[in-house]
Amino acid sequence: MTTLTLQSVGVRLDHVTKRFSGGVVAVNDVSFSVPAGQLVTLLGPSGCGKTTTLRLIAGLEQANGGTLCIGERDVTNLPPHERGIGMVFQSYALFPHLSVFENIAYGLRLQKHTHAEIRASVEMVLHLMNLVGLDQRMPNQLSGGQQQRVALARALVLKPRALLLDEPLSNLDAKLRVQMRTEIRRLQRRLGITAVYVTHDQSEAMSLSDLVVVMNQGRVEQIGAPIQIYGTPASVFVADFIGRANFIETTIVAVDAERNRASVSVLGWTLNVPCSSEFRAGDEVYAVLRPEVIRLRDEEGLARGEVRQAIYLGSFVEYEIEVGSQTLVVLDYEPWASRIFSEGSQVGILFREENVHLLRSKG
Amino acid sequence: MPQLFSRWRRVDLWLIGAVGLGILFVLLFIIYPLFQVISISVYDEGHLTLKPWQEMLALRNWWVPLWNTILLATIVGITSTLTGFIFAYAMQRVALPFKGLFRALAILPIITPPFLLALAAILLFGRNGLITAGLFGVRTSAIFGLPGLVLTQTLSEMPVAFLVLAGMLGSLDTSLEEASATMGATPRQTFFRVIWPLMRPGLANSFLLAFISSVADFGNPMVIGGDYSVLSTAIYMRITGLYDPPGAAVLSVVLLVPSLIAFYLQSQWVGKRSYVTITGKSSGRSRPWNDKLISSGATFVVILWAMTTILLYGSILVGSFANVWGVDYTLTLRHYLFIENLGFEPYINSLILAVVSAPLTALIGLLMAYIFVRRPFPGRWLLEFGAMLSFAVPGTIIGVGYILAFNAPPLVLTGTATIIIISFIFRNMPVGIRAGIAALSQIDPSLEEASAVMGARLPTTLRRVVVPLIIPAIFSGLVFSFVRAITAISAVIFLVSPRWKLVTPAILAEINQGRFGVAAAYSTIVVVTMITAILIAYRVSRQMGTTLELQA
Repeated sequence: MTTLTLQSVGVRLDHVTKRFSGGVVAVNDVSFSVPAGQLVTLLGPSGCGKTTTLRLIAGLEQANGGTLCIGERDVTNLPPHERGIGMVFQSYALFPHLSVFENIAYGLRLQKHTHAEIRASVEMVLHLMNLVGLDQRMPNQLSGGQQQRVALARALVLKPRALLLDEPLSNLDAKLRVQMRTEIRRLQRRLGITAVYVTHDQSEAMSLSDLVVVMNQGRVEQIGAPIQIYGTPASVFVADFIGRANFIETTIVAVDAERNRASVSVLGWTLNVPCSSEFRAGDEVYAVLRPEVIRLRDEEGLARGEVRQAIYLGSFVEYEIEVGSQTLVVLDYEPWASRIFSEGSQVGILFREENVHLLRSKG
Repeated sequence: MPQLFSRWRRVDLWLIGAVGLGILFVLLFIIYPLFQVISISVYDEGHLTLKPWQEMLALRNWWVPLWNTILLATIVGITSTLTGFIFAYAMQRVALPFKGLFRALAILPIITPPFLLALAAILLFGRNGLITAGLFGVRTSAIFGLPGLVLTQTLSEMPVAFLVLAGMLGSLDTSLEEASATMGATPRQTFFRVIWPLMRPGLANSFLLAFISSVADFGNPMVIGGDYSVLSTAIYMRITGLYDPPGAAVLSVVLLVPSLIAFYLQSQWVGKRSYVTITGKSSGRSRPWNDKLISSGATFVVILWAMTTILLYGSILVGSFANVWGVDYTLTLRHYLFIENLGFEPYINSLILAVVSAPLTALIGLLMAYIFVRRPFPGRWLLEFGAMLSFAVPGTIIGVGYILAFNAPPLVLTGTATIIIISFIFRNMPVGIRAGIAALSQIDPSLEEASAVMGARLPTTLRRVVVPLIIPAIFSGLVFSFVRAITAISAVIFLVSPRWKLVTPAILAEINQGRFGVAAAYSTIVVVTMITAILIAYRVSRQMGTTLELQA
């Protein structure tokens, strides 16, 4: 059994813009690159331009400006069939008139391979994708997960230089989705294939990606590893879209440029928090606090607040705490370690200065 | 709970009434006339006889009309499906300017009497034809017969094929084509390996629809058939020329065979084999990569077609003002004055009867659709079978059936407006039923259940919940019942009387008299009326916030 050997290459977008005939700018001056062999997700709310970006890479839409390279080749003006990519569609797009075998063989037949070559290649990916024995079925005789695997097999058998996936898991149920995303990640690593993956599901993006490109309104908001996107979001949008966050409006009192620290007043306390070099004293900022970095205690904390709501959700407890005029969301993932506070009780609030992230509040 | 049950019981009473009435109508106005036709071909003065059949088989070339009918229908099925597909492809997949205009021109034949195209073809290609005699100086009758029939029937069947195939192409998941492209297929390879095979059930469907329609066509063969005899005209000749009802009945039974076979195939086999899934994704958006040869080929066909259509309808318009077509093209109003002298009675009658029958057709169609979609009940097949027959049986046979069935007691209706209205209603009912079924299947039954649970009876539920939701479908049904009533010819030609003349038989009579100018003037009036009516309907439907659904 031969295995699939791929010549993966990087993908690069340089100031790519797509304007639709109605005047809508779906993709606005987008630049990023996907290193060869890595998996990059395009993450954002619906209508943010992530799917259009993917379709631009595939050649299904034509860019109005900018350059698009796959490997060393400028493909900006190439039709999709000359780009050497593979794509998995949200609807899978399996040909309903062709069997699983013929669906997978489709591209090979176009390339005029011999009968034996086609059979060998198809059987190899059937093995790879755990589809052995299903090759004579028609697409409508397959389960959602099987259809998904056929769609992947069909793209991989052509040894694409890059694999594009457009929300490939959104039609599966929750359990299968988690299972398939692990499978996709394992396969991608094993084959070392360059992949661009569109999703609106942040947990999918976090679990799959080497790099995440967060998009909003046709623009790139942030590019980074999952840990950077979550830990140090570059904008209010990113902080709000990825996970949950408490935003506390405040002003920088002083900046210690040498140690990259800033003094800010948070919930009535002056804290010395990490900051990047771009901030100056007097800047209006948000102090961003993730709900799980806050601890609630019986004893005095940094500040005191009142429990407005406590919802027990099994593995964690979700609180709404009122501190002065501010309402904080707090997630306690260790309720067994302390105790569950009842609504109306007074609590002390604790968090580490290191976990406060500063963001410019406007502009 | 008991209270709920008693409410449902009352609902059922209404339902039983509606179903009973439906079955009665179907038996009386569809099954009974058909039965009359069949029985007169084998039954004479109280005993079974095969005499009419023997007489027919004794004729030399008795099989010629049957063969001619099937040959013509097969050719037209292919030509109209292919042109319809090209048109649909151009509209859905090729970036073209003036799409609205092309669409309107493609659909125009639906709203005009079919044989107008035959009249136009004679004006252009006949012995004194503008193109044959005028342009090339050739005096020929070659257009009469198969060539003219193929041309005119293709033109009149193409809109149906176009609508069927455009709908199918429009709901084809475009990501299939995109997937093909990402796997290295050129647009042409995608066309032949994905689009074409996926469209095959639709193509077969539209072939059969065109086949059925061609077999049933009466107007075009009357006008341009020449020596090419088909069954529908042969039946008419038997009745009007030879007054031989048993002979006509025999030919009718022969005509029923290909019609019903094609209809059976269409509804049972093709109708259930479709790959189209509604994805809800918009399609038909401009695609950056297209095969030049295919799109320019399609564009060429569309433009050629549009020009032919303009030329044909234009020749009728010009013909209505030309003094003597082919000889003297000076403009004159004499044809219109001639009609004025005869009186506009046929035209006005057609309008009146169409206006009276359209709401009845829409209402009955809607009721039938409601029963089919929502209320399974024993004996439903009889209603469905009857409704199907009224679509599948050629109008000529219905016409013969009506004069046989309603010429003598218990029900004497011949010569009255009633019989014409009844024929309109039962000929056009399928249009209303299809519109109703399409609309109803989109409404969640729980809406009606909620209404019923809150204590509404069936009529109240229909009036307060169902009807408001399917107003657009009712309106479309109304408009197209009207259109079909005005343009009908095959059945009503047997039913018109000196008191109730209609416009289509009047035009046909003028053509047969060779008064092409008068026929063209009459036709122009009808076409202008239909276009005006459709434009008003569009305006009204837009004001209701919906769009008029075009139906074949």
